[in-house]
Amino acid sequence: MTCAITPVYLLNHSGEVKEAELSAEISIKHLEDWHLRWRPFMIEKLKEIPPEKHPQHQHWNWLKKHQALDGQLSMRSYAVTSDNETQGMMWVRTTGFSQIPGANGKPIVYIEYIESAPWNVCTLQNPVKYRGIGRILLGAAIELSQKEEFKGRIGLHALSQAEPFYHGCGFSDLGVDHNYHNLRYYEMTEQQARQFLTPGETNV
Amino acid sequence: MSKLTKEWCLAMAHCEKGEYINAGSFPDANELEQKNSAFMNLVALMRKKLHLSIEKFAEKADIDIIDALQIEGNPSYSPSIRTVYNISALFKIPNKALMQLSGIAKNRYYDTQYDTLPFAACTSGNTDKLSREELVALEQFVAIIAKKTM
Repeated sequence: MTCAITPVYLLNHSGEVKEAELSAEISIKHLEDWHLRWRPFMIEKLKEIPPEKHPQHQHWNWLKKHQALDGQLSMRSYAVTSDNETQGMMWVRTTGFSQIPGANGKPIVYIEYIESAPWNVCTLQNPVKYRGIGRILLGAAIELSQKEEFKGRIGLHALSQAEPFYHGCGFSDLGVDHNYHNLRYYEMTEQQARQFLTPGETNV
Repeated sequence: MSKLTKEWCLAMAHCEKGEYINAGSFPDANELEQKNSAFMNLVALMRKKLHLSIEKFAEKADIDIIDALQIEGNPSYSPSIRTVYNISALFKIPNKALMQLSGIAKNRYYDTQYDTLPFAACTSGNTDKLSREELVALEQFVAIIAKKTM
């Protein structure tokens, strides 16, 4: 079975537009890139930056995640590729539940894991190689939520280094979740999701 | 139809500054385990010595490519007996030695001594040539395990 591929676009370090692909499935090629490109790059960069700036996710293992999650009916995976190189990956679950007052208990798409390639993080490489990966993956999660008739609602627990990104994307910050590694929980409502996908439109 | 149009993607890209975007659980302590580091390093070096890509290695050893990736990328991964047997046949290394090294068979001779061998430099490249140091370390290591399991 072939997975769906959507053409998407990124900006490179010079501000030029670069074609990319959003794959609705993490493939062997993406895992290979993690193993043979992301990991060696990260290992080299860790030698250059002070320990307090080391990525909190530096020991994430996408092979283990794939082994644990692949094949589960509620799980979906996505990857962004450009320049024949994986630029970001994400696993989501379609069995999450909203924690936002007013929508509490309603189904959401929950983002289990999301990461961009280390050369797209300015702490590790400045200027970054590509910009736009994070929001494209969030857009994919929102579109999945709409397709599942969850009206675009998505949620996630952000690592503290990534909290500014989720504030910037317009998520609601529901505070520290003491039941989940004391990570902050973020959720996007139906309205926020619509605003994210169509930023020029006035909210109804 | 997807709303992720070219205009939308570029507007979104302009908003990004290269921030961390990671969401999900903190690293699992198990991911730090290095229990099979000697086995994973040995496989990586032997593969490089034979100038095999990951795909070619999996094909020649008749193992799943996911297994091949796991062996080199996941220190806590436990390969199957068949996988280790096939790898030992491909690399012409005594099966018993690899079974012990991979953690499948009880490890009578080797513990931390394997991890202290100079195998640290084999985390890069797909079919890169071995450096002289890597080649020397590999040959010494293979000689040791072959002798120990005789």
